[in-house]
Amino acid sequence: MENGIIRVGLIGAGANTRLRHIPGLREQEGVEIVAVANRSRASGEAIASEYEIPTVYDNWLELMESDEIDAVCVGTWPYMHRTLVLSALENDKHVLTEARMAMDAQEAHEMLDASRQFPHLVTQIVPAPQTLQVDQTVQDIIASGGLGQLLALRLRVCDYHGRADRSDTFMNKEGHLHWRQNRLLSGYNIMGMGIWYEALMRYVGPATRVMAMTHVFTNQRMDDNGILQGVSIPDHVNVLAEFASGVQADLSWSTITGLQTGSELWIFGSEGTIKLEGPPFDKVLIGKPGDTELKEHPIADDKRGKWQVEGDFIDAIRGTKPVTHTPFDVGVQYMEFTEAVTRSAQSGQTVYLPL
Amino acid sequence: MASEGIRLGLIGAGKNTRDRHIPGFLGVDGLDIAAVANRSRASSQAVADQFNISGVYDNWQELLEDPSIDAVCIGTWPYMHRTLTLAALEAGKHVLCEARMATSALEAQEMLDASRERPDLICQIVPSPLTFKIDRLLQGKIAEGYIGDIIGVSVQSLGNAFMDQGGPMHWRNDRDLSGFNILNMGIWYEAMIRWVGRATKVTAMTKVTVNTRKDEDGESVDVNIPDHVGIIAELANGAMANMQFSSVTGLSSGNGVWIYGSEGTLHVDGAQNVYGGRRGDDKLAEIENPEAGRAYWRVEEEFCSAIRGQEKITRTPFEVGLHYMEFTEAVTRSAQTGQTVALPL
Repeated sequence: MENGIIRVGLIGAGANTRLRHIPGLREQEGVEIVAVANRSRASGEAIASEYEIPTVYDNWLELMESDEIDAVCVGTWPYMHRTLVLSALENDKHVLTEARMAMDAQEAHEMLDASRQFPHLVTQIVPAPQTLQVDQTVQDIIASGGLGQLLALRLRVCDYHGRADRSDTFMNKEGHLHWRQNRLLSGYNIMGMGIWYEALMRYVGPATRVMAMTHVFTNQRMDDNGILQGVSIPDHVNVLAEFASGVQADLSWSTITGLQTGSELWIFGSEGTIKLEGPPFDKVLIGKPGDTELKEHPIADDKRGKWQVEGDFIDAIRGTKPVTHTPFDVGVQYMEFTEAVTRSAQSGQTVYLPL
Repeated sequence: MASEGIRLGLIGAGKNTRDRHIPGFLGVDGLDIAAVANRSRASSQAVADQFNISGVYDNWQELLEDPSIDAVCIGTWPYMHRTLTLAALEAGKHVLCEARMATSALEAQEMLDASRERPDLICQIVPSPLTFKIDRLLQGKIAEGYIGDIIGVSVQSLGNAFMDQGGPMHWRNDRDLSGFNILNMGIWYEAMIRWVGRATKVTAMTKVTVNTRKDEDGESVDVNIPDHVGIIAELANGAMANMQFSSVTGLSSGNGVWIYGSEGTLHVDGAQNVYGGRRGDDKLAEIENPEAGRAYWRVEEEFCSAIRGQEKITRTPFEVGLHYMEFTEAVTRSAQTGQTVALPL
């Protein structure tokens, strides 16, 4: 850090980096985006000229070796997160990594272990954003006993991750192989499962056991080279889970449930029920014994969260706030859940958490 | 028998027998409800008086020993279904047995085996009537290819009340009387397999939320039949199903069915309106369900026609009952062991 200026390098500047992180970092005072390394020099240069970034590196190794960079923003697909995070820490750089944290639980643990060896460096994962507007309100209701004893949770997600066309929710046999459907790039991550589990943990804490069944209905897709590839990442997932808080959950994700456009989350307690629906998940519906229907629960403006990961990262580097969205230890929990789902589906057995 | 009268005996004359079966049998020509044996002579007498039934027996053994009785209607709770069915068949009587078929898959298997030893006698289980209104519509739509290949099925039957710890003990909460049957899981599964066929693998998680209830004497008793159930299943047709049953989901969205296919989706709402949509549509739209095409309650008529050799039992034969009892038991076994259970057992 020179003169209080935090110099950020971008590694992997995909859609979310361009859409979110570059504008988000530019809003922060005393932050400069000084360098970029993308998959090729050409794509790095295209980003640099579009966003006026002064330095382009041939590859991430060169960027890491620069002494002029204080922090890196890792925007690659999950397959590189562990390698890049470990390298960033070894090169004395703060690191914000795109979600999902890693390919599997083992990688996530290595990342957490490494972060603990560099306590002066900030490590952060881009948080699950879909429920930020309502999180605080739901947490407050539960914490104040508004639902009584927590009993059950249902989540049904009409998932769009990896869909070419969000308007067509039917199964697409002719679809292109998306990186989310490519196990070599995504590991155990399946659709939006990890971001939803991350959100659920904010309300009901971590799961203690998982039973899952999954299916790949579209099991071949064409890759970028025009080669038909087998697909092993499910497009339809059902999970049953028990949480430490006593909640029993049934959770489902699918990218092939035609004309199902919305997602919904229900939390059932002995004294109350909460429902969230969306997108956008911007309202909290609540019902109590004696009510005849769910009613909207008012959300105070100062309780309504928003996307602020770039600001949080910079605040954490300056030491003004700890990382809450999302620290590596939470990332480890959701990666363990993510891996547990596949392990259970493979073995037909309950998988207990933590792994 | 074809032209002769049928003399029927009632064993166990609970609510469904009085509300449904007796009126149903009274509408069948040439059928005489000749006798009744309930849990006590007094309760038998009350039923006999109400419906002008001439024969009252002290217990079911006496009723089965009456050679003039051709057929029995078993209306007890599940714990007696196997014993009564086997005894009725041995006594040479046709059997209509109330649902659920039995308390376990083993009992159901014994009942099926016994029925096969008496091919001259009709055996029938009271069918799940929940979805008569929509069964044929869904079957027809799926058969005509409206949704293409079936991919996913979702069935939810969630109560609307909050948990009532210490509430009254119902026979459905009593494992001694109900066995592996849980909530209305079996009745929904029986309906579901009419549309999409059978499950081959079952994964389940269950929970007993209300673990103490009060019996008839006001005594607290433990409950070990779950009141919240999550099930995932793989079906023989390659689809995945998930099913949820609960009596602790206050202000839930109730009952609903979704059948997702490669080319279309069918949805049944809590009032059993059916909605559908195909690729290219922008939303689900209600599908007309003409009254004339719907199935309806005719179990007593079907039983008597089958006895007279005029039709085969379709709602519901013992083979189907065995299958749903295997599914029912698989749910508990999976929940107990934490392992996926393959069907048939």
